Amino acid sequence: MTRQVVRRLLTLIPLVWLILTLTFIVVQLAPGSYADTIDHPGLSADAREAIRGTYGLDKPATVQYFKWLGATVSGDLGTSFLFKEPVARVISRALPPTILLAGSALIIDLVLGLLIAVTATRRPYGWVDRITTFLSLGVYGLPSFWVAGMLILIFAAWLGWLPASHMHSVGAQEMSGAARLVDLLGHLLLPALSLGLVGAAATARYLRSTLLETRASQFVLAATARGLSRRRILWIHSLRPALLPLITVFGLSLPMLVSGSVVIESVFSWPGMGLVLWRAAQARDIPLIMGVTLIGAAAVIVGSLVADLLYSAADPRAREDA
Amino acid sequence: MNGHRRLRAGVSAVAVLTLVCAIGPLIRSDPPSDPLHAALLPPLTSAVIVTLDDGTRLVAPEVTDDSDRVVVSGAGRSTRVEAARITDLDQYRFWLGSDRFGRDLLRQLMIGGRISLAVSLFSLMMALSIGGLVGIAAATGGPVVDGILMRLVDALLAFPVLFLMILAAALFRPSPLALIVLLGLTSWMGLARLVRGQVLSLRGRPFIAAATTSGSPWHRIVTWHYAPNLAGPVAQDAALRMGDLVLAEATLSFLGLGVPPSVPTWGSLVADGQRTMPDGWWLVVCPGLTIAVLVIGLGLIGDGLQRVESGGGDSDLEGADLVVQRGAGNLQ
Repeated sequence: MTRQVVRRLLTLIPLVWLILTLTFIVVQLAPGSYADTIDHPGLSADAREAIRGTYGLDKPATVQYFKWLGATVSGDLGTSFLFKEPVARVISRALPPTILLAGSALIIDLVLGLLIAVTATRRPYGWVDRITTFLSLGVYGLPSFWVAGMLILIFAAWLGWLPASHMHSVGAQEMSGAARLVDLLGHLLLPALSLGLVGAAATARYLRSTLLETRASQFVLAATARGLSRRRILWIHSLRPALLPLITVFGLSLPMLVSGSVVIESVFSWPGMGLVLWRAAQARDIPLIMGVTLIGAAAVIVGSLVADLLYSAADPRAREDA
Repeated sequence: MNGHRRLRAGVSAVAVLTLVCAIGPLIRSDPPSDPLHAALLPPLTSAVIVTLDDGTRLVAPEVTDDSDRVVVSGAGRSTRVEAARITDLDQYRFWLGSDRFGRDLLRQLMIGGRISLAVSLFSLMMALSIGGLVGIAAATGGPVVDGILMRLVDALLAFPVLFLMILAAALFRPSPLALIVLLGLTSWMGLARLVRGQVLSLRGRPFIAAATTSGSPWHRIVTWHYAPNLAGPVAQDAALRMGDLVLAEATLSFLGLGVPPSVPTWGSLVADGQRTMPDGWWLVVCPGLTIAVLVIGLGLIGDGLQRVESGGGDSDLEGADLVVQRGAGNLQ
């Protein structure tokens, strides 16, 4: 087991390097540099040149690349051009909001998808099943930014129940603990729903078909013959094999937990990793772009590893014991 | 729904949308936009186009007579014009309403649809060519080529694609051509894998060996033996991928990273609509639903093809894997 993990991790390091190098090339190929993005009419061409010199942008791309590579390998992510503070600090500030948002979205995705599938398969091809199948097919074609827009329109603009953007209300610092938490949850609900609903539709569609499949299998028949309750058969016997492939899906969506959703975060002005990447890309903030990419790439790799490990823990057939 | 019904529903949805976008703007003349009287008209509003003797054209939902003058009113404003100056009156129905500049949303959707459809179609073709070539090269080029190409595919697949698209789109100036190249370059990896797998499994089949021993040249084997057998799985994958591309294009345009702001696409129309919110809900609802109909139509085609391929299956069990793959993508 340990050897398997170590071997996987070692083969994945070149992959991270490749992803980061590709990103570096893309950033270098793009026209303009940080000095050109500073919006200040009084800035002369000489001054912009001086700024390029300050940030080392006047050096050849290969020199910049090896300088960056050396610093990264020794654990130094550099200083953000835009925020004028260490990249590590910018990321550690943006990470918790993104984990909170993406984590809630993932929970909504799984719980809602599971509930819909279980309710629908209680009577397959009944009216509940038909309606939910139709709805989940409909939702799965919707762009998440559109769902976000509709939720804002209904719950923020028309009903006025929930705030349309940001993570805290103005003056939230002065609130008491409980009031602050309620305020945070209110701000969290709409973005989390926008991300989670589309996923829940896919999860429900998938779970519905696997639940129908397991219903017809021999071990469910055997469990029924043994006189087990319907509830026990459903939750213990039918659901376990149906949930297996979801482990892979959720392992693969782990990167989103840390890299965030650029679209949803910018629609809701949610101060997470997606918004940071967005601003970094617009400002040509190379250290910050590389830092966010590094975290994203690492998450992709850890995610697929975790998915594999969980899968082999849950399904003995997938273990390669050697 | 069984395979054939799915396929039929999907093909009709996609065909109707494509035809409306392609032909619609040709049939219906462009109405003049009147930001004064025709801004934010709700769907189904019937308006009158008033042409004056100096050539100006006013568009307003309400035109009433007031002795020798005509009152043209709408959107909270009214203008009086002398009846003698009016040279022509015309009816125009805003089936889906108008935006804040008085432009017909239906027409904007049709024009935008041309761009959205063209961009996703051309990027799909690009992805198909790159993916096909890489897949065939990996399957037939020997273990070294295969190893290098497949590691590259793995690396690119591991990368969150939308992240890469957004990064590249934010760094480069947007244009339709750049968008096609960007979308094409970031979505060929799955196809390369699929083609490689199919070619590898076909290579061991007796009819390929028979063709080789009977002395068929390689291009004949590729066009007459590999291609027909690849067509099914590739078409399935292409339909689903095109749905993804439509969504990706819409997302980039929504963020203002797609085509230049002067060109409407479905994604940028949603973004425009959200700027006028809470007024004009139809400006957000209509483009979003149009995207959804197209994506669902393409999804049904992909699903249907798979079911028909696997024996017209009536069961709902197949196609589950496709949904799971897409589910992970949707979360992004």
